[in-house]
Amino acid sequence: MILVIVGAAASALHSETGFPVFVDIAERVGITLMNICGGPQKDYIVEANGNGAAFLDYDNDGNVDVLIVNGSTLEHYKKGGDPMVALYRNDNGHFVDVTDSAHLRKNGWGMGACVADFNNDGFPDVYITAYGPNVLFRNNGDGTFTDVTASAGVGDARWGTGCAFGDYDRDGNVDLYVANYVSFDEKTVKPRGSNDLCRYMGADVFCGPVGLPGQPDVLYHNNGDGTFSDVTAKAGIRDPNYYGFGVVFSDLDNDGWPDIYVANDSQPNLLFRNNRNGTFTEVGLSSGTALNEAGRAQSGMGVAIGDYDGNGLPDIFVTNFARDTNTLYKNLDNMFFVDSTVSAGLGEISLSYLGWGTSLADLDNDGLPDIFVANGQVYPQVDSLNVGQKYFQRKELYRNRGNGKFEEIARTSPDLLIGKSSRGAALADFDNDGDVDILVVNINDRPSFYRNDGGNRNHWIGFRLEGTRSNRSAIGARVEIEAGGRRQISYVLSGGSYLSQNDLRVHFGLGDMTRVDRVRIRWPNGIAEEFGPVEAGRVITIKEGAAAQ
Amino acid sequence: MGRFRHLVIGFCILATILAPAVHAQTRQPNATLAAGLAELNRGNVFEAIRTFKEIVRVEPSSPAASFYLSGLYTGMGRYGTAYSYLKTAMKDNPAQGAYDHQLGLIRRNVGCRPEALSAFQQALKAGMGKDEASVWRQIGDLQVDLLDWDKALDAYQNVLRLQPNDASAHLAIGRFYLDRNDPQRAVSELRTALESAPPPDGVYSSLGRAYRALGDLESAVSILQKGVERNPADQDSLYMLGQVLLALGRGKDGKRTMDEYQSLRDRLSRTNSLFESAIERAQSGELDRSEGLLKEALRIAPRYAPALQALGAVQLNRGNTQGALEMLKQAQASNPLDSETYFDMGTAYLRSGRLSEAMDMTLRARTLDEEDPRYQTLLGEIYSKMNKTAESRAAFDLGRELQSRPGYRPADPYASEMRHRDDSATVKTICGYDADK
Repeated sequence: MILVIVGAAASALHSETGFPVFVDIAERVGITLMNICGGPQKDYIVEANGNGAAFLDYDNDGNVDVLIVNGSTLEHYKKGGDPMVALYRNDNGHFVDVTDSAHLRKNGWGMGACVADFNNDGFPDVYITAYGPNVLFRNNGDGTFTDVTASAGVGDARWGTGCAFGDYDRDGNVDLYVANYVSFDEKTVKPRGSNDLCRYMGADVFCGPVGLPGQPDVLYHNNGDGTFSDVTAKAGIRDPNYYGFGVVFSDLDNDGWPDIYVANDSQPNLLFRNNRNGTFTEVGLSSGTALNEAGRAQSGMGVAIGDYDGNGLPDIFVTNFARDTNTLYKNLDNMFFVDSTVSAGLGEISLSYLGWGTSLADLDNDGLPDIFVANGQVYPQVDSLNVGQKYFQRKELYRNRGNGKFEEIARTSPDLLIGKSSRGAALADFDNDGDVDILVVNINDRPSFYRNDGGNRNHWIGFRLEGTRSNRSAIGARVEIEAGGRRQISYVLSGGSYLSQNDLRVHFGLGDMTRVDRVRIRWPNGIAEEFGPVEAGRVITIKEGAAAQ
Repeated sequence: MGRFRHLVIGFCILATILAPAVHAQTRQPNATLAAGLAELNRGNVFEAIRTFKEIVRVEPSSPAASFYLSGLYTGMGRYGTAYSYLKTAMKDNPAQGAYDHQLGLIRRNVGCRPEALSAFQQALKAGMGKDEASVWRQIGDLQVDLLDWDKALDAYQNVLRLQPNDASAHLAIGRFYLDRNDPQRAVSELRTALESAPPPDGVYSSLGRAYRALGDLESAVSILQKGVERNPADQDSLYMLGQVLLALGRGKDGKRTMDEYQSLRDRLSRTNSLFESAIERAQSGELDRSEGLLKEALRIAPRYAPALQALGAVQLNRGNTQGALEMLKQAQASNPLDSETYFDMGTAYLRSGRLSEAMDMTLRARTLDEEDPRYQTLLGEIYSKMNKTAESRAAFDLGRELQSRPGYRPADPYASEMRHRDDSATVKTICGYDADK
């Protein structure tokens, strides 16, 4: 009865707001992996950060498949850990666990994933970060993968978290950036509550990250022969051992060369500007993206990129710890940003939540990127405190009002209000119905898979890009469309969110426009192509240098 | 000395406001108490502690002396000790607003905010007299921490009802409006806060933010420049100034300011990093390397008391008694309330054969921390050198007894800042939690 009333209320809200409803269909479609990530008390930091997920079309059948990363427990890890990933094949909307047949069974303590076709063979490969050695799975193109970590030279044994592929030197091969977190050893890290740094509001909680030694990030250059080289120092990637989490390659100054943004936990965020000569310069502080408006380092978790204000430049949204706001950095051009969190209406609401996975995506297809945030406390102990926070938290969903402001609208989707301790989030139109759906990994719980019901009432268009001279996944490509006199941009991005990977296809909402007048693609190697008009309501495959198919 | 000046000022005010209420409850002949308060008023915090402890030694249940000691140990960050003095003070007559206020302060400092809030609310019920505004200010800050904005605003408005010119309340309300995207009202409140003398910390950067949010970048620059002129180490104002200059297109000025900001941050970060590495080296026995790192840290921050104390301890353990004393005297000048510094000085004087100075310093260490067995053992050694056999034996015996107490953990000689952090059980007791919470 209650459900009926809630459903009716949501329906009324939908008709009032016109915003789609997100319905959790995870169990119904067969995505049921029970996440393992430490014990329920979260005695140590390694148990608390959870995992991510990735959308990828590993068999190139046009249906995006789902890969979920899994952790382990301290006890299991001593015996080799738990299965690091689960791969679900999308059989027209129902998902089948094909982990074993895809040869992805490998034990360890997985963290996150990023996807790209690193060897340009036409099939997406997967990189898995881990507490312990990271793993690169090469897609064999026959439904199976091979662990090529050792031969590729990317098995960083530090505690890897976020990762992203991007072709920073535009040589046609995607390179790889891996964020590392802290040096953690159960034998030396003190137990819960052992000192001031291991308490939260009077409760005994796990120690760290503050007080633990951080680990530097790493940049690998893809040599184009199946191997990578660690070029961190050579490329000027100077990470002062910050606690790295979310990472994304994105051309933030719109010069055609991908820059790197890293959200760091409890430390300033880093922005490496691409010097266009194989090196980077860290410009986080001067760009205004290292700290919040008040000059304070926050606890960066996830990161999303998107042009929320339609000025043709990518903005940055970073999720942060509870009792602090998430932060929206508006791009003012020339690699200068301003913290617009408060004026955009994103400040006060987010203070009660601890944000992780996130995305700037047009969920109602009105042509304006909205914001989704998956939340969850890291300390189960907060439940025994009366401090306005709980371990299980609802999601935040912000509708872009088109005037530089957002409106929190999660109430339109009762399933989003169900409390979970969520971590990674990945987005894709898994059922190819023209609106973007959301997959969320919940710690020590089954995933949530929110189907977008009603987003496709507006028109839309999607692009699947294939590089020829550029990297085959076209990662870094900038797509600009013009429909009805209105321009939008988006990018093919690897990494981002929190430990997660969105579908590599680019999706635009068009409102009531049924046609796109002009499409302009700037490929990762800098060459631009333009075409149009094209009809809306479909995913168009575009091969670099060829006409739209 | 900065943070102790703050502490002394706070206690001079507290002494003036709360003394009558506390005195009313005490049977104490107040001459010694007055002497202790006089020492506080003169800024001699150590002497005040010694005097109050003398009162407590004579009359262990003395509420007034215990209350003041609780306040002083709160200011020193030793909340377990502060709480235990407060419990003594409260024994005879717990229903006093001043005690609840003190309990609220201790609880807030150990992090249990709802419990601190409850103590402050109890303080209001019991009556706080002229100090009611300061309780409302604490309540406002706690409600902000607990994310209850409307109650926070109510609390700050209560402060202004009682003290219309309270700069901290105007600052807090200004920030509240800033976070609620109402920069116009924020500017009005923050300007009022700015007019007080001295203006509260953080008002310049907040006002700069408010002007920036209003789009009045020139006013933002002007106020932020004033903030930086007033305090060149005001990181928040410096950062904001750099950002606003860049937003104004004044790239050269903006870059220069951001470089200054970066340099300030780097200095702080480098000092911390050197200090932490030095402590790790010392703990692993690499005293030579540790000494080098500490000297480097002190080149950047010459008056950083923990580094001065640690360098003194390292030099002492390397046999450089004279060098150690030089460092420890500087450490003592920067932080006259660190028992470990006095203990190291006592050791250094003992090694130099200067027994009366050794005794004086060790007694100071013991005054500040009566439960460290090493201080008793050192006293035993000094008495022994003085041929005071009975005193020596008594000190050694007490040292052994302290060492055998449950929960005793040997202290780390190189990390005195960490020594007095309260354990989990103490925090739970302070917060009034059940043992399993």
